[in-house]
Amino acid sequence: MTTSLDRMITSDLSALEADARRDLPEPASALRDAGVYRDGRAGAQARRDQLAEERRVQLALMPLAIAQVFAHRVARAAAGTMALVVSLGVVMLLADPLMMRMIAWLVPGVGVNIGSCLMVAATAVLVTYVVATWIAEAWFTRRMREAIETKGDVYSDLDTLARGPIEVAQALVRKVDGWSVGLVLAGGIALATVFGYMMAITMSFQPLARVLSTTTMFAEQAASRNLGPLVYALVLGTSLAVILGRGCAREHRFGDPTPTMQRISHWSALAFGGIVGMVVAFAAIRMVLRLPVQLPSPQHRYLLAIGAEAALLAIAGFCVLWSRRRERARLGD
Amino acid sequence: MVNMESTHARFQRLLEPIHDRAVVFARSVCRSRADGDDLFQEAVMRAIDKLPALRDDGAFRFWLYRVIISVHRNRYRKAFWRRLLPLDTEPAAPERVAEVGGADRMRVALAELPHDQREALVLFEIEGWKVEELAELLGISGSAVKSRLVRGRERLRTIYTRKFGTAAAPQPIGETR
Repeated sequence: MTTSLDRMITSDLSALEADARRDLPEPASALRDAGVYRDGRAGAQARRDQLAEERRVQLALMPLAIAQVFAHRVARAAAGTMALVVSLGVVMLLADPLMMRMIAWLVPGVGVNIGSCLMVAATAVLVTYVVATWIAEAWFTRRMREAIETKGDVYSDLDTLARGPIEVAQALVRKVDGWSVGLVLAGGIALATVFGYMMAITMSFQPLARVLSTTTMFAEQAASRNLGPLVYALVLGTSLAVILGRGCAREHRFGDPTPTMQRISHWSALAFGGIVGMVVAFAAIRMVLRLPVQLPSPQHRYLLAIGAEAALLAIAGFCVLWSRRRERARLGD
Repeated sequence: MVNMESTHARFQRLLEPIHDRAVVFARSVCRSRADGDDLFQEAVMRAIDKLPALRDDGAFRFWLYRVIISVHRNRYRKAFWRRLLPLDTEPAAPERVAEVGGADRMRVALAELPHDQREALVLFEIEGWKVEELAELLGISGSAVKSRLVRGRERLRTIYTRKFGTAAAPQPIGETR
């Protein structure tokens, strides 16, 4: 049955070729018609006007979801970058006494503690998100206006209008997809890692109620000799987030999600993250409680850092990819 | 004027070896021969206008086919918003097309394929292009071309089965059901 259908298709393709070959015009006639008998410019102008009108209607009917998703993706990427910058700033504060002196000089009388750092980080990320959304919306509007704009040159206009505003918008949305996933993951994981680390260290020598308000950790550089696992965890988390972001960008080009994305999108990643997270939290609390009697070995610390990053990435990655799937469903992508 | 003439002469020289194949391609991807001739004519006009920008004469073949494909997509692209608002209706008459010849039947089926699959299929099956050439022309990888061809062929089968049914299929000699 399939064979006879295939034969029929092959024979019809041959028939189409034979039909297309009938009465072929002379090559010269193509040029003659193009030069003397047809005025290309007038026709092109009419086509341009018609296309421009069509594109305007298209823009008017364009679903708002595209603009919203674009703005939020850009905002997420910007907020993720800000989170990454703030995390690096806090690491520098922990590592270098000079930074502390600079802060004391710039804002005298303010004791830097985890609570104030957390507040600054949250404010910076939130403000960046809001401002980036405004900027992205304004930029998107301008880009859409350009997509339907006609200028003096007819052929250049036809080339511009060949891609409608919806196609331009969808291309923009796809372009920022990888950045938005990668940066928001990298920033979120970096913030969680840095603050989690600081709180774990502080809890070992301060009561729980004073963890956020104590300034001793920064003032005495309590963590400066212990930054190896933190920096290692940050580099690891950021690299994995970048891999995931690149996977999202790749998916738009080649159509299929990468194996890493498939694994992290699966519900088992959430379960894996939860279990590893609980094990790491238990090990960290145990380490903190036993700190007065036994210092953890470097292997133990690095293992905890790796476990924490794996758990964070699995949970945060699953959530980000789930939200991305919803966004794509809204776009019909 | 001198410039214009030299452009025409250069275009004629470059077009001559591939003219027939390009016309066949244009006629094959369109819904009718007349549409194909019109498409080819429009592509030639566009190509002459843009020819001074083409520096390498060796790349003319790919370049001209890209122009034809671009013009074809611009003319027949079904806009996204039209898919949401079905204002126009396709002149579909399955009981009629079952009676027509193979070429028309194939035109009807090809018209239902997406542009990318239709172009790849026509270039591969009718024009005899190689996968590597198609990959270069369409700016995609070889495996993407192969997948496009396979999907196009599968879709053709589905369309044939749906539109023309099994009755339209000619029974090959010696084959028993």
